[in-house]
Amino acid sequence: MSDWLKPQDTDEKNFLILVVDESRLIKHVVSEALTSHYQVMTATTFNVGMQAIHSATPPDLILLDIVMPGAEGFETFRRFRIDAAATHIPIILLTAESDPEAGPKGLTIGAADFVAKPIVPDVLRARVAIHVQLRQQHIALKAAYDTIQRQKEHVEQALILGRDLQISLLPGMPDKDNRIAAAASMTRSLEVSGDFYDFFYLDPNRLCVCIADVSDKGVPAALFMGMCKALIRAKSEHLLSTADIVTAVNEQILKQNKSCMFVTLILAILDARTGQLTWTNAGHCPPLLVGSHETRTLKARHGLPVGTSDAPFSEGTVLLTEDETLFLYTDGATAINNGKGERFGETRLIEELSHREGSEPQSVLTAVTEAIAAFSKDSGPVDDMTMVALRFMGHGKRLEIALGESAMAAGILDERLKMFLVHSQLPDAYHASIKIVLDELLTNTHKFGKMDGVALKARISVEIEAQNLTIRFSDNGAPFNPLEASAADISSPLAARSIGGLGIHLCRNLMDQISYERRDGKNELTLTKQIFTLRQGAPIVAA
Amino acid sequence: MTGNTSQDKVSFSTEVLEDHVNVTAIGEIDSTSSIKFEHELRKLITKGHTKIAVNAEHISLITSAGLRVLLMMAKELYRVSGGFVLYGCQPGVVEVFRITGFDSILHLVDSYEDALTELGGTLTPLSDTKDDSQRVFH
Repeated sequence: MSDWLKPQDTDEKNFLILVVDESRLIKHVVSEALTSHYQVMTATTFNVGMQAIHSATPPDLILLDIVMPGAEGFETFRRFRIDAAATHIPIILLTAESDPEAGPKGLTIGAADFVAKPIVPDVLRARVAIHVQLRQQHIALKAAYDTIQRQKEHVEQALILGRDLQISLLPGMPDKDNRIAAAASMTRSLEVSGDFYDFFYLDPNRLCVCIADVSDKGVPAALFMGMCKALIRAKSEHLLSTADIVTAVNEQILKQNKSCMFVTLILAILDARTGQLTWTNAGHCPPLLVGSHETRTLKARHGLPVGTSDAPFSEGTVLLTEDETLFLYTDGATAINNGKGERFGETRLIEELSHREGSEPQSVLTAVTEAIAAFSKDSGPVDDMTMVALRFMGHGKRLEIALGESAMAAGILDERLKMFLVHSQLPDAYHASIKIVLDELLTNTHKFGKMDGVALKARISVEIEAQNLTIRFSDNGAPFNPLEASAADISSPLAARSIGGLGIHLCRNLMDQISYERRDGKNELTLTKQIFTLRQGAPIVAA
Repeated sequence: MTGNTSQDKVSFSTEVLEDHVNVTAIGEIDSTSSIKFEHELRKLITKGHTKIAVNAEHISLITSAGLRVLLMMAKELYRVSGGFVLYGCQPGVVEVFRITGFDSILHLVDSYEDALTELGGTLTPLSDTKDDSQRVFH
């Protein structure tokens, strides 16, 4: 028995026992047995007993004399039991010698105990002592429970503060960089978390990104997490390879880690000039690489979780192609359950990501978060879940898009084209030309290209190479050579002016050259234009 | 990816005055947004307005789909002896008008004041007059 379970109140004199003695026959023997140890009050009617129970100092224990045989004898007992103030006060029945079944029956309907008459003072005192002790323990437990509850509220308040502090410590997104777009999201359970992510530039061209999951949750995990994060930043200042940084962080943590915590993490460095990604995976879920054709899992492991072994870490490199997105996550994302025992899992995650190819990192994260929420709507609360998406925009030199029929009409090209142009460093004057040409070609294909039994598709590429802009437009529609189309009307008076052919006329005039080829059942148009820039160092050529 | 809708690409504000309507269009008028452009202008013609000035200062781009709408509206308004003038066009838009010969059938002027002068006078379609000096924006 723990200390706090021992009766605290050793002065049993404070214990108040109510004797309900309707026949007035047992008063003396009961008083004799108990008054030396406890306070005793006697009620000779039910009502007087009830008054005592509802008084400012209610009894701790009730002794009830059963006078009448059979069911009638329990009438008073029942009336006490159904009174809200009396339900928690234990009742000991004093049963008649002539009714041996009364005691056991009383126990079945809620009596704490019974003592058969004739009353032997020592026996009665011993029985009462047991219940006094139980009662004292109950009171002590209740007090301890209340204390714990109060402390729990304090701790919870502190945890909420801690959690808010953790959130405020999360890094902002990297500065606007034309070459890399980044986004991160964190869905958290109601506790301080062991998940974290970080972004920082090692130099103007290399962005370091980290995602990690500490082995536990709560305050110790949060403290451990803070230490890891600070160590990674510190070690990154003079070490340049992810393997070296993680190895150094691991050494430091092993020295200090008395609590045997560990952290799984991925540390990656993306070179914004080339798209080269160097990464070290220390026991974490593998990174995913979302490209235009497929989503790859970077399965390589470069060591155990940090804090578990003194073996050095290795690293891997991969070259991101333009528009590829690196997706990092903690296992909260895949471990989440749908309430039928199925995990969301990597396969669903990859499928979800493949639909988002080419989207802005932030919209990728929003879509994945929504998909996971929809999947797990019937299961419990969401566990900690952290995701980071890093998109390599490349040099802004080439854009490639495939469009289906509905996409042609819906202006679906706009978002990608807009982003491409923003990052292209192409003079503004060319933006409008590219937009007009693509709008005209798409409209043309959509209006005139349809053939029975063929799902219309178009493939567009826009490429900027040295001083040349090249637009390639290919569609599987009906054969159509725009160069042979009849000339547009550009001179009739208003009333007689027709609109046909203006789109192609515009394309021919906005670009320098157009060539057409029908190849493999496709119309293939190539449009080129020379780019004149006024930037320093570039030749200034008169238009 | 949802793609932009025509609603995102272009927006309008319309000011109905005593003897004309001043329509300000903001954004790009291409194959998706021209539908909204047409709807906006057609609404005015249906209500009986015959003199329309289009503030083109904030039109950043126009494609042949937008030209189609302009041609239709100009034809309808001149048929009923109304007027249709665009003012403040950006160079890129003027370039499209030039390439397509629309500068010879649309009244293009610099400012709102110029547009009011045009609308207030007796307007006739440019190409119906043989006088080239009335053209603006060469």
